[in-house]
Amino acid sequence: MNHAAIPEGPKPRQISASRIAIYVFLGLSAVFFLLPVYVMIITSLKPMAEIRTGNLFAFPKEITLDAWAKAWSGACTGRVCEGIRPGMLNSFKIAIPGTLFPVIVGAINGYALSFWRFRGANLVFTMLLVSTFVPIQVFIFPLVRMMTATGLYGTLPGIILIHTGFTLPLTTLLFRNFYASVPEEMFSAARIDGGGFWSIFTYVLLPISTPIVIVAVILQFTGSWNDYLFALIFAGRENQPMTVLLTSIVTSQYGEKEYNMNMAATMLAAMVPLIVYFASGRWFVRGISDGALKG
Amino acid sequence: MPGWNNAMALPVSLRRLPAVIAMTPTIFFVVVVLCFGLLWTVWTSFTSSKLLPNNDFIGLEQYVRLFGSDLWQVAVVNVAVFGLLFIGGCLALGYVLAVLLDQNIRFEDGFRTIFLMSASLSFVVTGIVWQWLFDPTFGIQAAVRDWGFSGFRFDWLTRKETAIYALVGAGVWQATGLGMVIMLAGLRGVDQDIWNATRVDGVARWRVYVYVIPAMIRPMIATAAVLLSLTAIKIYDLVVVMTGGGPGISTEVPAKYVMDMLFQRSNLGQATSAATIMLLAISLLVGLPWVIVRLRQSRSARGGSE
Amino acid sequence: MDNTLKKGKAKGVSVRKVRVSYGAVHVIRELDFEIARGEFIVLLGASGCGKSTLLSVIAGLRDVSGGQIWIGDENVTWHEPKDRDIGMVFQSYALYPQMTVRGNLSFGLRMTGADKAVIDKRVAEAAEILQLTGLLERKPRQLSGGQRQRVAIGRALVRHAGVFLFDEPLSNLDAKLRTELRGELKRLHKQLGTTMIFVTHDQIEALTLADRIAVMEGGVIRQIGTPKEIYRHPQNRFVAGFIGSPGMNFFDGEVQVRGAEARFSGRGFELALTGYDFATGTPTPGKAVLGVRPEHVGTRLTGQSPFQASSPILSAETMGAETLLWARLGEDPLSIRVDTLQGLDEVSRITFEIDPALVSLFDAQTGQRL
Repeated sequence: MNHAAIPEGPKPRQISASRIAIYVFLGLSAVFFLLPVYVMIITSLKPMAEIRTGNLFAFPKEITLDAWAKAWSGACTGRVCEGIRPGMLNSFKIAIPGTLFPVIVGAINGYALSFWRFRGANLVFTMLLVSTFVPIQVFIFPLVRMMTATGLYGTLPGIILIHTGFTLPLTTLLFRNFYASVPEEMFSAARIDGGGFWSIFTYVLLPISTPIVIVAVILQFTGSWNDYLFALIFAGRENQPMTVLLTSIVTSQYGEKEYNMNMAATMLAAMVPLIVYFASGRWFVRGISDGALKG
Repeated sequence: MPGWNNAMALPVSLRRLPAVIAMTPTIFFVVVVLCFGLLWTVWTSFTSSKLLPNNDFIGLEQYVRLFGSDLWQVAVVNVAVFGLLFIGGCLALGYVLAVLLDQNIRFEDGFRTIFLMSASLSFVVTGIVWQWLFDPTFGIQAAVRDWGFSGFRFDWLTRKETAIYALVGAGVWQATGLGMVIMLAGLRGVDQDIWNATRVDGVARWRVYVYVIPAMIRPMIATAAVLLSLTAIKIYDLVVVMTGGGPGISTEVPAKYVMDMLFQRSNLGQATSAATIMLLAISLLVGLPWVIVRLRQSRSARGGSE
Repeated sequence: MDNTLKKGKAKGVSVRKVRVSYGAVHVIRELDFEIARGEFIVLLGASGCGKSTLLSVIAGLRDVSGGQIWIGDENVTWHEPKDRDIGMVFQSYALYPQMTVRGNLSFGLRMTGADKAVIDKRVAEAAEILQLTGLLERKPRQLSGGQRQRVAIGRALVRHAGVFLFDEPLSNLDAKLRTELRGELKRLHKQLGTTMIFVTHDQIEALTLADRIAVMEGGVIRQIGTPKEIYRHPQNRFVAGFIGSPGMNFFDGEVQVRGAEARFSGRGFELALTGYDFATGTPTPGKAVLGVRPEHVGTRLTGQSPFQASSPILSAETMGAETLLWARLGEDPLSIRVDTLQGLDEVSRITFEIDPALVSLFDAQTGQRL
């Protein structure tokens, strides 16, 4: 303590050792989380020669986009060598409806369960929740049978339906919790004004649902895009999304692996969710804290 | 009477009808797909089905075969080891990071974005990247040795005893952010006066984070733990991409066992029995704490207030 | 009583030229006053007046922007709360929810490495004083509001501090519990003799508990004095209107002086100011505001008051044992507090007296007492 100074006014803030330690640890953690991504990027930009002889962490001496080009259109998945490009389109074809439908159905479900307490509503909701705990392996074979029987096996609508069905619990939960915090009076007033089920939903609740819709869309899109298991089984060869193609590319290489191409392909697969993540940042976090916690 | 909404005049059950109709697809899904599917799977596990299902009831024979199989035994041990380390690691690291972020630091948003980023990736992506990092010839081991530490080992994926830990590492890298965010929200919800009280009492900050806070954010921790345990039991993508179950069978997991039995070995009976065991395990894991909480609630309700 | 809780431990507090501001917002504008050893002082004011901020600053939970805080003989301005020899009780109790009462009381001492025997003794002592002995093994959620607050007080007690700080501790309780705990706090102060700084917005609490009250508004102390002084001689219009329920009646007008005699000329009435104690000793003419408390309007006519008037009764509000009559003094409304038993709520006209020695006069512009 400085004996010359007489204490008055605000206390002088010193940088304490613990403060420094905090930043050091945070910094190290940041390195831990970023390192793989960094390695992924620089590896994809290096020619194979440099990878073989150089250090993993070294910045590319020669930046080349060849690996990216190959990953995009020339990589081999088994017998076909079209790159991961078809996967990109497929992923969108699956993820966009696979986001829209679950969100809409989830919103309707959440609405119905919150305000229209019909007999068995609680039962349905409980069973939905319980289903999230059941490992999907339990459903795989029955689903295969049902999908084959209805001709949906290996089709685009089929995989979309499956994504929708199995994320119903999540979206329903999100919307139900959100609507539970909407004052009952708003609903009652609308009923008195003559509103029916659908009109109240469309004109009263939907307009105020923006925050939760954003959260649901982000979570759903990311989940659908990143899905591997369901897509592998149910999407069908023409509709395979990037996750499946990526796995094929990486695991079906014989001889020396083309690491730069693998990394490029991985980056391509990861890019869209990452962009969504960085663009939505704030809402993602708020969504988890508001939505998931109440469950 | 003019102006009255017709719907208000209907009996209660009919008034709710639009809601029931709106939820029909969901109800259909729950009943037909989920319930029926689950029952069907469990039933099949008691039959001798191979490529095609048959109704030849053979009791618990599939289960006997299942637990007699080396592959399955390894899978069960692996998922338990993986689960404990994965959940423990994510919760511990997640809590520490959440605590650090709660310290009113600069760049808090930046750090949080970085820590949560990995959660937006697929396990496939994570697996591929980490496999590359663990590569003895080109990955971290080679790089560090290149810097002069010639004895450095980071080849966990190539050895049977350590491969599972590599999976844990990759998993923790991916999933910590989620737990961190949940717990951080919990930390933010702690009454400021509790902190004031600890300052007046002279309790060191770190002690508060160790002795007081965890119990106060128990629901958050529980939520995170449950979500993480679900991920752990179902782990499949990561294993397929990083190790393919190997080296040998050292990283086999139940989910992979089911898939392989189903699509490669065409053994429905084994696949469904394995799936059923997975179901039982999760029911216990999640059901037990739930039952305990309920018991504790009713006990305190009886013995509590005056 | 164990002599570890000695009267001698009490410390005085000195607030020297303290100001607190956040950027351009001045929460506390230069405050300078002393709190005597063992005194029970109440910081009274509406929300936003700065009373809680002042308490936080004395506690060390917040920094001052300027000035010093002294506790006892020490300049604690830069000290952490734990080094200021204080104990604090919060509005929301802030009990550690998963610990038992015993755990709550002993936590601070345990964490700072106190001797187990000392901890046990202090916990037992605090429990006895606050009648918590039978509840030591319960958890906060099993306690009633009043019990929880007592645990919060107990947590401060075990610190054997020289000054206790209370931040609106009774505000979360219902009226009945509030009255109960008020009495207990008064008893506690008498028993322990420690210095107590109590923040509240409730004037009843202030008037019943305090040795002195500091009435605050907008970051300044409008008046500091004993409850009696503040009630009888409010130093400014704000304090006059703030203290007393139902509130004081105010009348605009003018003080007119003729020789040694003064009178108040209001709208439609004149009140001779014989016996009124002017601040400067001599009557001060000029525009002024007259303040008359509803309870100081005499309805049992003695005939000895220099002022008597009558007016129609406009309305009557009966509140149990008391009734508030609304009448007129000149052109302005006048509220009069009477006993319901007087039966005056049925009457249509009333004659009343006002004793000028009991009124208050304030400068129309500055609001200061004349």
